[in-house]
Amino acid sequence: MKDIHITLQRSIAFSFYQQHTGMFFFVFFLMFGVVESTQIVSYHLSLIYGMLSSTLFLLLVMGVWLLYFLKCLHFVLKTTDATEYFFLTHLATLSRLQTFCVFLFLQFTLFLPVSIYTVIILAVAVKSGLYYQAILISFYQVSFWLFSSWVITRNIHQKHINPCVKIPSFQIPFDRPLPLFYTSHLLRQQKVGVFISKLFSVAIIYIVLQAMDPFDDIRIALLAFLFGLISHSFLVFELKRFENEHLHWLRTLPISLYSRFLCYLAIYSIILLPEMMLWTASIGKKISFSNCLLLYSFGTSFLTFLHVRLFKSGQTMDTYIQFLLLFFLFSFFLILCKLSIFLPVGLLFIAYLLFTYRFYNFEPTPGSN
Amino acid sequence: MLELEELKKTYNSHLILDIKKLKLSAGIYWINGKNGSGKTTLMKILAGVIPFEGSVALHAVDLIKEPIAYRRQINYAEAEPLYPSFLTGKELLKFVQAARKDSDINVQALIDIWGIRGFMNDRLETYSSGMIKKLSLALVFIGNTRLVLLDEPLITLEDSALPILFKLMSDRAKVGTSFLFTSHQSFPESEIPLIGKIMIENQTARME
Repeated sequence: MKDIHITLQRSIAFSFYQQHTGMFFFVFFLMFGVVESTQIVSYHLSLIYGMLSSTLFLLLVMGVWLLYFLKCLHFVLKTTDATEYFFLTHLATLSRLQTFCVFLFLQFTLFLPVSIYTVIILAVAVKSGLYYQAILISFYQVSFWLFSSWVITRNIHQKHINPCVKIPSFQIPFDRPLPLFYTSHLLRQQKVGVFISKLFSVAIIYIVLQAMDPFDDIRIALLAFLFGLISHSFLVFELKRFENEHLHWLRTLPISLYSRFLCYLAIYSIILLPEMMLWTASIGKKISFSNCLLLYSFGTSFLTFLHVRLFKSGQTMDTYIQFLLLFFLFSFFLILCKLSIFLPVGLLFIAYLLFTYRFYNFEPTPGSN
Repeated sequence: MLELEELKKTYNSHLILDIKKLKLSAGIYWINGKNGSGKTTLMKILAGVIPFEGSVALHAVDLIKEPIAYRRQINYAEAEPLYPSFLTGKELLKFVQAARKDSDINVQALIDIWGIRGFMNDRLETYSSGMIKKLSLALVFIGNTRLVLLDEPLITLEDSALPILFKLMSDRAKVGTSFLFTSHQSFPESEIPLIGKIMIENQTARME
């Protein structure tokens, strides 16, 4: 069993942490980077006491944990169903209890960041005599831990059985143009990723629009949109991976570089449609038409630039995140300095130059994007 | 040995397989059929990795009723196997060995038979497609299985490796392991003690 545990840790747990480095970095920054080092303990104690004394706050935290647990579960299910992980079907020769225990341990590794913080919460709760909350939190986490292990075990052992609920497949009633190759891939293979990105992005834009005065400083909207765009960065990486693995043959087709570049603009315009609709709906109420155009072009050029930058051999999630952080700070600075008008134009120009230079020189390397 | 009854498989309401009844005795069988006839789908159903309607039983062990006992008897090698690029060959072999509870002696023997010892500690991303194929063929012989499914075992395999595969199949057949394999490539039929050929066409399977 030791070899099974090691392989699962190496292939699933390690990949999970590697692919979500950005998310962990962001959460770590929120938890430990926004307060002075001398106030960290009191800051966290206040958070924990707030959580334990307010039902609404506790429910909110439990909701966030639920999102994380679902993310872990989805990741494991997606991985175990992937072609490269077909060898995991050998686990179906173990007893259900053995498979369950194997995945229980794997889930423990994935839940570790939450579990460590929970231990501190439980210690504070017990010390403060808040036993009811401590039991509730423990029960909640253990239940999900057991539940997710059961779901994965079931998935491994019941591949030969038709699912109880079948989602009807939707066939587009026309021949897909090239940009829809990409968006269809996202909608089929990255449903949760798309949902989370859209939820975050649309929510932040909606909140900012509600808070904005009519024709307020456009920098507020641009900064909010910048956060929304960063939440799409994982989708960009995924699309580039998809392109490298499944659309490599497109390079042999007689399509001009100009048309290919326009295709990327079309892809990211489609992806940003919900956000565009929100901005459009607020024309004349919160923002002007010209500012709306600025937001459109900023969003599309930002994501296209990120995509084009990945036309470089050896790009891993780590290098991508490092660049993303710098790029975010650079854009943030330009917006604050009222230089945002140059962002879309500059990004498009640099992206096109990079694209024409790199497209035919690019060769994806194994293990990277 | 293998018994299929009222087996049906559809993809988006498109019927792929509809086998009323098929009974096979122990031995080595070659599955034939055109591209898209359903050979790989049949293999995957028999391996218990995709859903289907009907019943499949191996040595009277039903896949639906006793899935674990059934799967312990069967092993499957894909036509074009893919593995996580960051794992090493050794890790993969050890994983399957642990899941299938096989001995070190058998696994080490398979490594030597396929001549893959030299790159066992290398990451799979450095393997050629031929090496990956050899590794997958080593994996499929791990465990005390009674039926081995080989989907296009000859593709990407070098000529000098074919006698190795045929000898392994013949030796295992002598001790009671059965084989179902597909192949579009021709091979010297005299090298394998074939029991018969199965033809897949018009969504069904029949002995030739």
